[in-house]
Amino acid sequence: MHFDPFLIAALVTTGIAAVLLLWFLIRRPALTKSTKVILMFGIGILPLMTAANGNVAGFHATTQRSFCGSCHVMTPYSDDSDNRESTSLAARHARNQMFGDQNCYTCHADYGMFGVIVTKMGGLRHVYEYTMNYRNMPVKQFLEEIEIRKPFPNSTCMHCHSTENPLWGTISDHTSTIDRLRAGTLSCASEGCHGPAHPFSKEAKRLKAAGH
Amino acid sequence: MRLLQLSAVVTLLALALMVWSMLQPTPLPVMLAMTVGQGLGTLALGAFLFVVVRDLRRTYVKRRDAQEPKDPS
Repeated sequence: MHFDPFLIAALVTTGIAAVLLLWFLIRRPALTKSTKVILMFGIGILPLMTAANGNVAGFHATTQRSFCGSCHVMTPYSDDSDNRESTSLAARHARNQMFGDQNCYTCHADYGMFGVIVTKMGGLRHVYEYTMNYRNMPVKQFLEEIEIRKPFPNSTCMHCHSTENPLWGTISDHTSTIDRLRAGTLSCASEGCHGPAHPFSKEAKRLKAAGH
Repeated sequence: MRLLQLSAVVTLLALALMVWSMLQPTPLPVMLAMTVGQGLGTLALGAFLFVVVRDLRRTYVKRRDAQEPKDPS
């Protein structure tokens, strides 16, 4: 659990609401105007504040790497990002404070106009698929068989690496492929360029293909 | 009164689900809090508002009846 002011606010409003409701249930006061006002806070205003703050706290929590790693099939990915010695693309980004504990979300989020909603809809699909199909799948089999649903878009990389920086243009591989990179026909995270982002998953697929 | 007590219990249940999701933010608790938890909370608030409106209406009808002039016949 991480510190979040919305979380603290939600817990405080929950505590006050619970005290008011328990008082009402245990003491059973007469239903006067003041009792109704107290209930208005206990049933209405405070739980609404809890829900609002809880939603924001919940949203923050779902952007944490620990949240992604809470499904067992994702543990190799979160462990790799936690590994200070790993040189994978994902781990190196996790060590950048702009990504930090939110590196899964920062790289896999959609940055379109309705990005947050689209990303959360995609997340719901993942939860559905995990619950219905993959919750008992061994991690080894998952790494061998499961692919990212859509190819990783270069636009996500270009969110930070704009391709406009003069230093970026001094690298011949960049200048020779810039049209393909911007068109998305060549992935920044492809093998031989900067990827794969999670090399161990590709290694598992390769070993399976070789019959190991 | 019975409906209000039920509403209070349902609210406590909804709050418990929301707190669970905040203390253990994994997919299942978070989804339960945002669907079942908030649904129960809304239901409880609806029941409370129903009781309040019903009481106000009863009071209004009582007052109106008391103010109406009695039939001289």
